[in-house]
Amino acid sequence: MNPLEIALVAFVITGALVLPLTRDLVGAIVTFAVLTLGTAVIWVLLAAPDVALIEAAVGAGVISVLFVITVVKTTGFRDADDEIESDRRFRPISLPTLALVGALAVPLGYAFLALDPVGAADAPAVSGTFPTGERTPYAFYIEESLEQTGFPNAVVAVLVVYRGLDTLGELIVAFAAAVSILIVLGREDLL
Amino acid sequence: MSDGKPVEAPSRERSDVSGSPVVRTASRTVTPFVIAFGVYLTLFGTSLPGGAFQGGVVMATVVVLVAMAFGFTPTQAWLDERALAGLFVLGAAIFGAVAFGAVALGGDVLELFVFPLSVENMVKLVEVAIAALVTGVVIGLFVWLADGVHGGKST
Repeated sequence: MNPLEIALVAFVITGALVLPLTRDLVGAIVTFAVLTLGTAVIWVLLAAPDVALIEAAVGAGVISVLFVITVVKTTGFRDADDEIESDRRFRPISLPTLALVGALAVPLGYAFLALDPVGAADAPAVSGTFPTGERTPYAFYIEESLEQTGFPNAVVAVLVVYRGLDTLGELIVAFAAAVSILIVLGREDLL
Repeated sequence: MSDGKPVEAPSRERSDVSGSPVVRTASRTVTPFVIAFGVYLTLFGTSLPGGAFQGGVVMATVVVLVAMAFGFTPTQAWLDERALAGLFVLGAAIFGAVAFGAVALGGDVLELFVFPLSVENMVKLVEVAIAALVTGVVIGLFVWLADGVHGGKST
């Protein structure tokens, strides 16, 4: 890891630790947006610009605004126990929450440590073959998609040509979300 | 807000932001470039990083930016909500037509090679449909959630 990557990872981890402990809800949302932006830059450094674009636009842009709307429409920028301890900027750590987060983090950390190091020659992502000797699906897409579809960007070739049915399913979910929001809010007249 | 009124600058934060000429000028200047970038991501996703999901979301963030700069109520008055609903219904309709039109032409679902157009043009058509759907859904989530039940007109 180069210094830029180390700084970004430290930045994101600091943000993730500050986020749940901040008492100010808008501050927490801004922290979330900024740490998501840091994650987007990490995706760029990992040569995944497609993911970085989505992360920056959805994570840092749209989701934060939806959070702000939710906060405005519910507590109106004020924490419930704001008046009681308004002089403290961070809320105390709740032990049950810490236990739950720890129970999620342990298997995730175990899975992370089980991954091959980045760029290892025998990793399936680099060699294109599983330990059993079969070719991995992504090796197939990377090697064959340019010839079969003519698209230099294999991501779009996979999304639309090879995995079009998955994309159709994703869009049905997005469509259903918009329709159900209209129905819940009593705006079916727009459809 | 619990009395069901429309969200007319309900917070000091938002009205402060919409009053700033710096933010207004910046968003006015940036908006056409962001839309152009969204169209570019959508149409040239086949050969460059990007794609319809990214392009659609980038185009949708323009509305969020404009609402942050000029206030939510004028933005909503300017937006045609029927066009917004039409946008994502149209996107879903085009994608569905391509998916099942392939069956009608004797292929499998979404088999793009059976259409008379080249695969690249079919993919661009699908990408435009995806971008329309994503743009409509994201703007809709923003506008309708901020608006509230029955468009904020009754409790």
